[in-house]
Amino acid sequence: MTVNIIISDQSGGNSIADSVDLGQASTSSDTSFQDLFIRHDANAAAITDCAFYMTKYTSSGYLGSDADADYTEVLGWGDEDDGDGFVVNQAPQDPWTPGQQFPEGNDQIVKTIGGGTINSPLTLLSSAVVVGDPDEDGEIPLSGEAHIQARIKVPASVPAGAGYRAVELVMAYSATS
Amino acid sequence: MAGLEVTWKKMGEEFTYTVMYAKAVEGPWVPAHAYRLTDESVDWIINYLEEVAESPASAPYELTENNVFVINDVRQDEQYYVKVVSHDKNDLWWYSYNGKGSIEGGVPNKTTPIPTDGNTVGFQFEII
Repeated sequence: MTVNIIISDQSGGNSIADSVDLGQASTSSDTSFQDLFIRHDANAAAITDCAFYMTKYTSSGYLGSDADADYTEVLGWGDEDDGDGFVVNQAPQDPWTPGQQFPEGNDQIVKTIGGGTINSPLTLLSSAVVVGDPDEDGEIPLSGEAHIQARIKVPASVPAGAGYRAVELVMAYSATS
Repeated sequence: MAGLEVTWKKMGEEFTYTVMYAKAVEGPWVPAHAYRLTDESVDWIINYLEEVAESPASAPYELTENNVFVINDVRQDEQYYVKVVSHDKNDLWWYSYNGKGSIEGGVPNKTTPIPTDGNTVGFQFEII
């Protein structure tokens, strides 16, 4: 049986649209954050090896001018190591209330080595699993759910009015069927 | 995205699955390779299969009328190389699979999926 992943913007919700608008951001500021609740429909065993990586935007309604360049640029922000770039945060508060941003001290900035490619993903941390009790990082148990947030920190080096950018986040995983 | 199928053969039998199984030829369960179907990637896949098979003639492929792209799997020692076919050739991805052990029953133990609509989210934003 195919094991499907459901990514929603609220716990147990319907699948999120394939493209999320993070809104507008000035240079040296953040976009809004997006909650991502992740669950699966496996019924044989937990899914494992869950990990995130950023890739070129291929979703619908692209508003920019060059998706390849967007990916390279945003990855470059992370590689600058100044705390800017694509942010994945896997540290939900307990309890968490809707609209609450996870502590910035737990931000993970996507870099070439660290979430920037399929070969260097960010492992799903057990701290992000809010339903179920995983045995280790990378696992979402049966009937479990993980909760992460994503946003963009735009560096000061980007010219004001630079326009639209877009990237994509993928979750890799292994599943038993 | 149309469902992908992974097919491999052993001893004349053929197994087809509608999920994306992947495993590096050696090592842990990780995505092996993923390439969108372009002329360049088709060439790469063919070349790779020829290389691992050490026999170009044993790495045939075909593109069927309904755009199902098929790369016949190749056996080399105890390693099997799967073919991934797509009902939409723009969504073709390719993986290799070491079926030693788990292939015996025709069902691999684990899968490592490719980016799909289900596990992918695009983000757009405007710098003002």
